[in-house]
Formats: sequence, C-alpha cells, structure tokens
Amino acid sequence: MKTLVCRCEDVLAPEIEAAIDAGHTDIESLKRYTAFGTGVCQGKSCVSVVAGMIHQRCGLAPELLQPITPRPPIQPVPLLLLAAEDEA
Amino acid sequence: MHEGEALTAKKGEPLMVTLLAHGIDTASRSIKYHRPRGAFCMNGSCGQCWMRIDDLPNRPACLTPAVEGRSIGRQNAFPSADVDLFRAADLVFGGGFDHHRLATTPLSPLNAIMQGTARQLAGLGELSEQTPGPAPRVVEQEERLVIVGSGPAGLAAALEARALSPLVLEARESIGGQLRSGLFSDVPELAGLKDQALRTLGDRLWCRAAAVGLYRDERGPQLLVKKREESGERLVVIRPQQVILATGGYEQSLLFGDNDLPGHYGVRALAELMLVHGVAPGSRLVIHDGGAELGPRLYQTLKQRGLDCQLLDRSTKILRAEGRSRVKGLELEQGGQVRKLDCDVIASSLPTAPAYELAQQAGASLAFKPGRGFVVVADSKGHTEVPWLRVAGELAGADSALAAAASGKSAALGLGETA
Ligand code: FES
Repeated sequence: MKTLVCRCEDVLAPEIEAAIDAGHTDIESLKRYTAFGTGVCQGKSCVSVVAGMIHQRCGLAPELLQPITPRPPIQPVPLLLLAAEDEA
Repeated sequence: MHEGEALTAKKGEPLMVTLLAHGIDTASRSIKYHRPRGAFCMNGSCGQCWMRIDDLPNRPACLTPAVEGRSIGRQNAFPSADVDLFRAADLVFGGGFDHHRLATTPLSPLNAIMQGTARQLAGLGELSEQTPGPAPRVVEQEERLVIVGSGPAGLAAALEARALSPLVLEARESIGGQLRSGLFSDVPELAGLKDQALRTLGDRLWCRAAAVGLYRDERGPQLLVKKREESGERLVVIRPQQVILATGGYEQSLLFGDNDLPGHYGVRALAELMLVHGVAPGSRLVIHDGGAELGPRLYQTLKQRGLDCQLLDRSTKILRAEGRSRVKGLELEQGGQVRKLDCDVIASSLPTAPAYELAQQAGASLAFKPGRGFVVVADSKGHTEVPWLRVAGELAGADSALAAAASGKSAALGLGETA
C-alpha cells in the first residue's frame, strides 16, 4: 500500500514526512530532496498539500511558506509552437 | 483507435471520456513504480491522463477532443498499460525507494545497469518520428482588458467591465468553469451568468485558449496564450493594459492508502464526467465531503437521479482504497470503528488549491492559507501589488461559486468607467 502525495514523480507521504523531520522544512529544499513537484503537473496537485504537511508537522507560520517558482509555460506547449516565434 | 481497437465517440468529447465510456480507466502508468493511473482532474492539471495521441507523446486525454480517425495509446508501459511488466518495481520497492542511496556507488557495475534501466523505467513516452509541419505564425495583439478564466469570477468580472469589451480566455471547450455542470442552476445570481456572457461578449470569449505565461518586458505586460483552432494549435502574444486573473483552482486529492488508483476522482471531475458528458465512471459512487461546496451538491443531484451514491462526512477517515488495478472498495474509520465499504468510484471533495502561477510570474505576492493553498495577496477589491493586475475568485480566496462571482464583480468595478 502506498499513499501518494506527488503522483507525477511517485513521491509517498512517509517520504515527505521523513524529509521534513530531517530538516527540510521549506518547500524548495524539500522539492530538491524528494523530487516532489518536479513532474509533469509542476506542483499543481501537490505543492499545497506539502505546504500543509510542513505547517502541521513543524508548526511553521504560514507566512514563512512560499511555493516553488512556476516558470512559463504553465501548461505543456509543443516546441514547434515556440520555434515559430523566431520566424515571426 | 485505441491501441488497435476501434472506439466510438461523440464528436468533440474529450478522449478520456471516450475511454471511460468504453470501460477503460487506466490512462497511464506511473513513472517510478509503474502503478496504474487514471484521470483525476479532467481539467489538464493532474498530469495522470497523458497519452500518445496521433503519434505525439504527452498530450492530456482529458482535454484533447475525439476526432474521427484519431489514434491514442498509452505510453510508459511495456507491453501495455493493462499488463505492465515493470510493475515489479512497485512490488520490489514496497516501502518506496531511496534514490539517494539506491545503486549510486560511482563506477560500480550495478550503477551502470541502474542508469540504463532507470532510463527505460522512467521517461514519458518517445518523440514522434514525424517531421513537424511548418510552425504556425505567432500573432500579437493589443487589448485593454484581458480576463483569464471563465468561471463565475471571470464571467462576473467580464460582465461588469463590458464597456471595455474585455477579452476572456478559457482553456476548455466551453465557458463556465464549475458552472458547466449545471449544479448551480438553483442559485439566481449564477444561473444566468453563462447565457448573459455569451449574449453580451460573443466572440470576445475565446475557448480553447490557455494562458501559459504572464510577465513584463520593456514594452509592458505580455500574456502568452496557446490557442487551438480548426487548423491546429498556435501561440498568441497578447499585450494587455489590464489583466484580471480568475484562474480558479486545482483539485486536490485526499491522502489515503493507494489513493492513486484509477477510480479516485476530484469531485469536479466526477461532476464533469457525469453531468457534462453523461458518462458514469462506475456504478457505486462515494463522495467524501472534505469541505468543497460541490460535494454535497453533486451528491444531491446524483441521488435525485436514482443513482447509487453515498456521501461520507468529514469525520470519516478513509484509510485506504482496495483493489489492485482500480478502486474496488474502501476501508474507513468511523467513530473508532474500522469498516469496509463496497464502491467503484471515490471522489475527493476538497477545496481547490488556487492556480497562482500566472499571478506569481507577474510579480504578485502569495500567502499560504492552511487547508486551502497559496492565495494571491490582494485588497478586498482584488487589487494586487502589481498596478495592472487584479485577481478574483478562488485565487483571491473565494470559497464558493457565489463568493467567486461577487469577487469578480468587485475586481472589475470602476474599470468600465475609465474607458
Ligand atoms: S490532466 Fe487529464 S485528468 Fe488530470
């Protein structure tokens, strides 16, 4: 049985909890350590859940939590379309 | 055609709907453990339904319309997503695998094998052999006001600012966002919004237009839009003077054992499937009320239709889902007692996590709200720290469709008059 937090990269709830307990209490370093949020959805389904887990587990004030930086494009875009810009 | 088998579809319905109507609920296999995955959000956000469509990898089956002759296939599985031999990874690494330590000793033969295998195990489909056709030209256009999102917040904002003839962007096939399901037709303030917008704004409503980036360069704000037209997709660069973001939120999943099995949906996805497309992904439905208003509403409607549907209240804890390839039941904890519940669909009805990406790219600040996610910092009228950017709806913290419409209206107040 597995409880998934990040489906895109198959990251499990106990893995996130262990990482938080090991001191990764900000979203960015937690991401680098567990790879959560680095998959195809780019954190749409997991960043808030993980922020909630940090908040609950170590009582971190909500103001101290910031999500990972979402770069454009926020939805997949075929490279062909981006290539077109050069010609225009 | 799905993996060599011909499927019949209603023209234009999302391919994922076609698959579910044929009883196919495994859309992909997961990247590490090769677990079966199915649609969760039906909104292009969860990434679980990506398939190979017309020989191009990684296209969301929940947003790609069925067209005659289209071929779809599952990727990332061998020999097929129904029987995936790499699933062994799920069984061998029962407790998860630690990629910090697993076979990473430098130069060891095991490491070399691991590198090779990991490449095969992971990966997301293969590139097409086809040479792509000529790239469609990028068009650039100027706008006074652009509203991103056509849910209750976006539509209310657009109607309020109609004197400016705002351009409304909607990623899906039709406008309305969560109003599309018809579950709010008893709320007078919301019931007429869609029709009124269609009448008033006409071709200023762009469907199939997804805003994928918002930033500022020396010429001012720039909004990058991926637009699907008859002839295919193209990019449009919009130069807006003002932007109202009403991008709504992403459905979130409850945490329980094997919560990733096909058959677990977000409540909006379930409403979309059953009420917009008329396809039931199962026959014994369970909705877990996690606080979103849609859960109880959908439950009422499905009950009225005589369907087998149950609503679990918040004090009920789902321990795990049963089933190996899809949800076949649930194990629950209720008042200290553990019991089993027979079902084939479970829907999480949690508040959505605001879709803050564009706001953050534009330079607005975010604040974490426990139980919710990151909302954009804005005053009661939706004005952010960025002078040309306002936010409305779930992005601004609204927790109901009615509140979203009200915030859309107030975000647009005053904009029409300065025209
Ligand atoms: S991305 Fe298609 S179901 Fe979530």
